[in-house]
Amino acid sequence: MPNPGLKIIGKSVPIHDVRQKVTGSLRYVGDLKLHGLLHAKLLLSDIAHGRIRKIDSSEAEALPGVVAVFTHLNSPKAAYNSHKWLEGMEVIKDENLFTDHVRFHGDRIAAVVAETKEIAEQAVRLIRVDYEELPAIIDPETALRPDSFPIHAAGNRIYHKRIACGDAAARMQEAHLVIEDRIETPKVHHAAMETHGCIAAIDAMGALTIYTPCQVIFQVQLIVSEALGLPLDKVRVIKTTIGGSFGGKGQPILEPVAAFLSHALRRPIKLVLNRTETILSTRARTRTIGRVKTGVDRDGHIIAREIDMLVDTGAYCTNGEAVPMAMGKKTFRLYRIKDQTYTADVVYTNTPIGGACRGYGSPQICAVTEINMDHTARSLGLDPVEFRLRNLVHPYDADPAGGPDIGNARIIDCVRKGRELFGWEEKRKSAHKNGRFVRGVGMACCTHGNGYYGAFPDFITIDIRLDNNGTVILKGAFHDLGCGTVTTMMQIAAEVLEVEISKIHVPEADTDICSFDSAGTQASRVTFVCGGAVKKAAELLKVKLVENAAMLLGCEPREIAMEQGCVFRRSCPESRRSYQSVVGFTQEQLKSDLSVNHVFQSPGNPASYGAHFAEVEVDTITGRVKVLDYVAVHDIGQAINTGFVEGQIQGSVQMGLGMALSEEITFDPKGRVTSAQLSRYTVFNAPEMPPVRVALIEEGEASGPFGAKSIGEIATVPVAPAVINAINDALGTNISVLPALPERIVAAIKAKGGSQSVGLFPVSADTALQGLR
Amino acid sequence: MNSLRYEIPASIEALAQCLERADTSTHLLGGGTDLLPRFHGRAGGGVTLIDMTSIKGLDTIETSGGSVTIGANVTYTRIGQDPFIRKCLPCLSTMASQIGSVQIRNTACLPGNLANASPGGDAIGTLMALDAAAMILDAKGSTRAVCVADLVLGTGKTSLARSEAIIGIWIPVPESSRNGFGKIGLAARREVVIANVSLTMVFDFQEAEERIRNARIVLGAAAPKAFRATAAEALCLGRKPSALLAGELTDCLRLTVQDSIHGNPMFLHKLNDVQGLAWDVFHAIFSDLY
Repeated sequence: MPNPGLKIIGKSVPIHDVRQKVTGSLRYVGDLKLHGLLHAKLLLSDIAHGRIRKIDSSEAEALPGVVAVFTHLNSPKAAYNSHKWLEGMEVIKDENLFTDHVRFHGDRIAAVVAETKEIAEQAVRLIRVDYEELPAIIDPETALRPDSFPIHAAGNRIYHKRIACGDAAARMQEAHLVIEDRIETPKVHHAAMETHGCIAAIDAMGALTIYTPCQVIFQVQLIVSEALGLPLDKVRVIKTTIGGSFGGKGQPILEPVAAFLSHALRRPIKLVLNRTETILSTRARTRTIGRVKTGVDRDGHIIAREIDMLVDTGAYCTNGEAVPMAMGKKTFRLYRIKDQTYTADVVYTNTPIGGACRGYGSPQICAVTEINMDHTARSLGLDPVEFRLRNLVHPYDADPAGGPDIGNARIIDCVRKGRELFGWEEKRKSAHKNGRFVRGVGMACCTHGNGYYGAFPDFITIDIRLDNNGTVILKGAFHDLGCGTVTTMMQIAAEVLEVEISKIHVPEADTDICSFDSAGTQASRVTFVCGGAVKKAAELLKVKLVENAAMLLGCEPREIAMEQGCVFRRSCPESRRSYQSVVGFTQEQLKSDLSVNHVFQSPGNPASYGAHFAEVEVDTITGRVKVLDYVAVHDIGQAINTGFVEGQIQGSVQMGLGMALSEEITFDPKGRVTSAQLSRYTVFNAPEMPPVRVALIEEGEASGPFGAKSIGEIATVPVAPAVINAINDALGTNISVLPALPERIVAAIKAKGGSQSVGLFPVSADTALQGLR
Repeated sequence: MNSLRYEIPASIEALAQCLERADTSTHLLGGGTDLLPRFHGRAGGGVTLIDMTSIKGLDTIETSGGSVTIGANVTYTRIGQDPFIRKCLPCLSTMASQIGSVQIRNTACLPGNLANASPGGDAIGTLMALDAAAMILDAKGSTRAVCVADLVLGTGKTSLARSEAIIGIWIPVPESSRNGFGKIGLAARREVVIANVSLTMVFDFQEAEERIRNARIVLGAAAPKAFRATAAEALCLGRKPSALLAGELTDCLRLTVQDSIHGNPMFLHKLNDVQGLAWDVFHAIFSDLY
C-alpha cells in the first residue's frame, strides 16, 4: 500500500444520497414539475431511410389541448454535432432539430407540445408523413462500397484513420506464425434504468434553464447555443439526479429540442422518452468489424500486428472521428509490440446513431484483439496466460506510438493475481469437454485511459471555501452518474483538510454555479483529473488555513497541526481552535476569505489495466451459455472508495456479459429495429449473473490523486473477449461474431463438425447417452 | 368525462349481476399482472373493471374423486407450493413456480393466463396437456365446463363471451402419471422468463410394466396457440423410457417446431431450444429408470 496513513481514502463510504435513493424521495427529471409545464412528444421515423415529401399535422394541431406542432418546416435549420464539447473542436455538422430526410428508424421528424403528456401522445399519432423511401443500408461493409447509396451528400465513408509504429508489414514476413481473425461486435443499447429526458424553461429575460441528467453541462450549453443561435449566457444547464448513463447521456440529444420548444412557446417544456424511443433514437455503442493479423516468433513473442477496423457510426457522425482514434491508441499500450499498424474506416449506415458507451471503443477493439490473442495462443500450443505474460507491457514502458506515458502499469500483477485467485491451472485442466454440457475457461487483458491529456484540453476549475460553520464548500462541474463522484470528491477533500466527510458540501454541476470544466464526465477522467483538482485545491486551501491559523495562534505555520476540523500548535494540544474560529479570524481580523479558485490541468494520462477470467458451461444442444465463475483484477493505483470500485466492476461485468452473449440491436431487412423493447433486447438480469470476485492491485500512480487511476469504463472492456475465449476453449470453435447468441454457438459447433445431434441427423444411442452426461 | 367504473362483487351471484351489465369496455381483474400494464400510460376512462379478488369461495384448491379444482383467485405461489399438486401434478407445480417473478406469482392466477391467450402463456400448454377444463360462469349465474383446448383459440382469442368469467379450473388427476414441465426464455434469461418455447409432458406410465401407455405432449410458444405434438406422442406409445427414446423425442419435437414456425427466421432459435428442453423435461421425469 503506497498510502499507509490514509484516514478516509480507500474506505467504503456509502454514496451521499443513498438514503434518498432507497426511500424514493430523490427527484429525477421525469418527476419534476414546474408551473405552467407543457409536455412534448416526438414523432420518430418508422422507416429507416427516406425523404419526407409531405407532413400533414393539421389533425394533430386541431386536437384540443395541443399547443403547437414543430417540424423541419418551422424550426431552426442550423446543423450541429452533439459530440462537440469545446468551442474549438472541428466536427462534421450533420444533425438538425428535425429532419426532412430520415436516415434511420427513430430519426426525429416532429414534436407535439400539449397541455398533457397523454394529449401529446394522442396528437403525435395523428401526424401523417408521406415518404419517398430510399434504400436502407444496414451493413457497414455494404455502406463502404463505392456504389452504395449515399446516406449524406458527402458519401458514406467519413474518415480514414491510421496510427503506426515500426514496420509491421515487413516484420510480418519474418513471423513463425501469422494468425488472422475477422471479429464483429454489435450495436448495443446502454440500458440505463432512467430513460432520456429533460426540462427546458424560459424566464422573462429570455434566458433558458435546462434541467437534464447529463454528463457535460458545458457541452449541453454549447450545443443548445449553436442549434438555437443563442449566446452561451442565455443558456443555463443544471444537471439533475441521473438514473444511469454509461455514455448514453453524454451527448445532448433532447436538450436542444426542448430548449427550442420552450424558446418558441415561452413556456417550460418537459420531454421524456420511453424505453423504445430511447433504444431507437438516442445513441448506441458503435458496431465494428475488425480484422486483425498477429505475427509471432517461435517463443511466443508478438513481432508484428496489423489491425483494420470498420466503424459503423450509424445515421449521423457524432463521435465517429473520436471512437476509432480512442480504439487505436489502446492497441499500443497493452503489449510490447514494436511494429504495429492500426487503420480504421468510419461509415454511415441507416442505423441508430453511435455515441459514447462505457469504454468508448475499447470494448470493441479489446474483443477484436483479445479473441485473436487466444486464437494465436492456441495455434502456438501455449497457455493463453503464459502467452500474454511474455508480451505484456511493464511499468513505465514507453508508448511506441508516441502517446502519453503509461506510468506504473501493473497489468502483469493483475494477470498473476487473477490466475491464482481464479484457479486457472486447475480449472483449465479439469474443464470437461465431452457430453452435452461442456466447460471452458478464458481470460482477457485490457487497458484504458485517464482523461484527455495528449488529445484534448483537459482542465477543471475548482472553487473551494471554508464557511463560518467550518463546512467546506467545494464547487466544480461534478456530474455524479450514480457511481459516487460526489462522495469521491468529498473523501478527497476530507482527507486533505482533516475533517469529517459530512463537513464537505458538494453541489452538482450547474453552469451558473460552477467554474468552467473542459470535458465533464468523459474519458474516465473524473477521479484522476477532477479528483486531482480537488486534492490540489484542498491543499492550497490548507496552506491558507495553516497560515491564518498560525497568525491566530501566534506561531509559525510549520508548528500547526490539524485534526478533525481543528488546528493546534503541535507543542501545545490545548491550543486547539476550530476551523470556524480560523474563518472568523480571517474575516474579522484579516478582512479576507478562506477560499481558493484553482485551474487544474491534468498532469498526464497514465494507463489503467485489468485482467478478467471467466469459466463457462455451454449447452451444446441449445447453444446456451452459463457463466459459472468470474474473476476481475484491476490495476487501480489506489481505490478512493473500495465499495464504489467494486460496484463499478460488478456493473461492468453485467454490461460486458450482455455484449458477449445476448445484447444486440437487430434489424429487419428494411432496416427497422426489431429489438426496441427490453423483452426483445435482453440484458443480463440478476438471476443470470455469476458470482464476480474482485481483486485490486494498488501500487499507486504518481500522477493520480493519492495514487488513484480510473475504473468506471475499463472494467467493461475485457468482459466479452474473456467470455468468448472461454466458449472457444470449451467447444474448440473460433466464434468471432458477438454476441455469441445460442444459434451462433450451435452453428459454430455444426461448422466444426461436432458430434452432437443437431438438426435432422438421427440421434445414435451413443450421443443420446452423452447428452445425459 | 370518461370515468373508470370499479366493481367489487363479493359473491358468485354478485359477479353474475356484474356480468349482466358487461359490454366491450368491461374487463375482469384478477391478479392484474397482465391487465394493468396494458392500461399503463393510457387514459383509463370509460372502462369498467370487475375486481374478482373479493369473491368468496374462489381461493381454494379442492381435491376429490380423482380431480383437483383450483379457484380463480388461487395464486401461482400457492399452486406451486401445494403438496398434493407437487406430488401428483409436478408439471403444474413446476409451471406455477416458474411463471413470471416472485412478485407476479404472489398475485397472478390461472384464469388470466387463459383469458389473455398469449402464445407464450405457460399455463395454457400445461393445462392442455392435463386435459383440464375451465369453469365458466355466465350472466345468468349458471356454470359450464369448457376444455382449455377449446377455450383458447389463438393469439389473444378465446371462446369466452364478454359476459362470462372463469371462476375455476378443473383438472383430472391421472392415476398412474409421470409428468413434467420446462421452458426456455430468450437469450440470456434463466428466470423471470417469457417462454421462447415451453414443453409439458404427461405420461400414463405403469410402474410395474415400465412402459408408456399414453402420452400427452404440448408445445407452448411455438405457434400462435399451444398445441399437442402428436408425432412425439405416438413415438412414446408402448416404449420403455430410455436415453434412446429421449433422443428420438428431441429430434421429433425439433421437426414439429420446424413445421409450426413456418420457416420464420425470427423463430429459428426455437429449434435448438426445443431439443434441449425435450432432453431436460424427459430426463427430469424418467431419469431414475435409465
